Amino acid sequence: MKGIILKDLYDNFCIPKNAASFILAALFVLPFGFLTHSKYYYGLFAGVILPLIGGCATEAATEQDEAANFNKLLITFPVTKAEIVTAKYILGFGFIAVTDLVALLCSLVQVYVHHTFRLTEALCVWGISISISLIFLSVIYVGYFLLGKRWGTIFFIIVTALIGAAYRASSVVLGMDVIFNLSPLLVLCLLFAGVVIVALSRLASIRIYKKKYS
Amino acid sequence: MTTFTYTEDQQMDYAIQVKNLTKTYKDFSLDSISLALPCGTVMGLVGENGAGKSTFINSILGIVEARYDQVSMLGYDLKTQEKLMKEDIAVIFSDSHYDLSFTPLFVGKMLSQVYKSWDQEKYMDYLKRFRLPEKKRLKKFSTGMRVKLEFAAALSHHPKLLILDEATSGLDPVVRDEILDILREFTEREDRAVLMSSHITSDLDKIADYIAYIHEGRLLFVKTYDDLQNNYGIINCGRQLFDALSPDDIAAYKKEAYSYRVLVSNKQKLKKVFSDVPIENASIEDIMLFYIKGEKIR
Repeated sequence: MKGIILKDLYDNFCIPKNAASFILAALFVLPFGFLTHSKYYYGLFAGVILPLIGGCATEAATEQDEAANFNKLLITFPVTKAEIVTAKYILGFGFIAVTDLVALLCSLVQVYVHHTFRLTEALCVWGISISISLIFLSVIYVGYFLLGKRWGTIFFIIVTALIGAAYRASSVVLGMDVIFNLSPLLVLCLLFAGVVIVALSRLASIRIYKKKYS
Repeated sequence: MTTFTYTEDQQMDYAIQVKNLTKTYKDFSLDSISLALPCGTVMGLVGENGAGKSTFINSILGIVEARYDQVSMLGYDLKTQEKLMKEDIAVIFSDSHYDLSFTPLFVGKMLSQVYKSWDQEKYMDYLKRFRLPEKKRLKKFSTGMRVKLEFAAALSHHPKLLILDEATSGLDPVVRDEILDILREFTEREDRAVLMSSHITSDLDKIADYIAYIHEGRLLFVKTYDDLQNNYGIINCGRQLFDALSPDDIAAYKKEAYSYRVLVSNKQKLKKVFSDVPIENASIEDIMLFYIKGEKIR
């Protein structure tokens, strides 16, 4: 599996156009998260924008794999189809770990530098952000395995737009204070749901992959 | 059709054993293929486009799912020991499936994480031998260079079985000759074997020990190359001699304007019976063409 993860990392960061996308995204997004002094924009940054990056892990790799029909060769390697899919998820978790660390750092900056909200509120949003990351990755990965690069990307955009719209609607209907003060139990439940959904998503992706190459 | 039977003790003597492999698509089916490739030999898989060669190779590799009673390679069962089996085999397809953005150096790094027995030193030696620049992206490689890289990558984890699916098609004769040298070198050891599907039957003439012929999804025969050379021949004759030949002697024939071209499958016997009739040697290509385009008596 290490070889597959290494290949996907190469696809993401060693191919100039893909690496440029990540650098540009970081240049635009990071100042937005760290410099803004608003609950709404921090929520948008940590709860919507950063979680998208977990899904991006498979976007570039899927594009490169499809162009070269790499999966045909991959199946001749000593790895099972389940391991191939699992390797992709592990890389996605790696991306989520990095983005959630960035979200945590950003929330600490908001708490201790900008005093935008309290630490408990920051941790609440951070927990929601991890849960959204896991759910987003789950949905997007199934989309890419099922639909391939082209339609998978369209699906990615639609899901992103839906999450953005849901965030905007909840900020209007519920208000930012409610979102920032969800009960810890509810946040834990969301996290648990994220873990369950990602496990189910992996199983579904394995099934799709096996069916695709049968 | 030639079938093989073998006991448990013989299993390790075969690099590939396939029993009753069937793969059905909507418009094509591979029909109950059984064959065995002994270790230390090269088997050429021949047949026209769409005959089922690639479907057969994809099926035994698990790239597509097929029904079968047995598929085992190097003593490993495809159903239960797929990972172990694939540690010891290497596959090269007609098109390179490595991303064109990769460099040979990265291919080596990646494969070192894939195969337990990856030999980086050997890989670097192959890169030098094939004069492949380590840091150049594959998109800047010629077709021949890409195929050589495939061979470098395939041979650097010490495989015991090499499976080539039209790997030499699209190469010029000089590169093909280099590839055949590599294959000869590879099969110098008795525990190794090669299954090679190819349209370029002249390559198989140079290297194959066995020829398996697939036609319209059916395995017509598996014969040793020597058997084909010794027993198959072509007679150019008129109606009188044609009628004198036994139907059992005629594998296929082509009727021409004033004569017949007959592919016979027992050249030695016929040489004795018709000592004054010249019998040409039949190449693999001749045999293929007769089976596809020729007519059969029965």
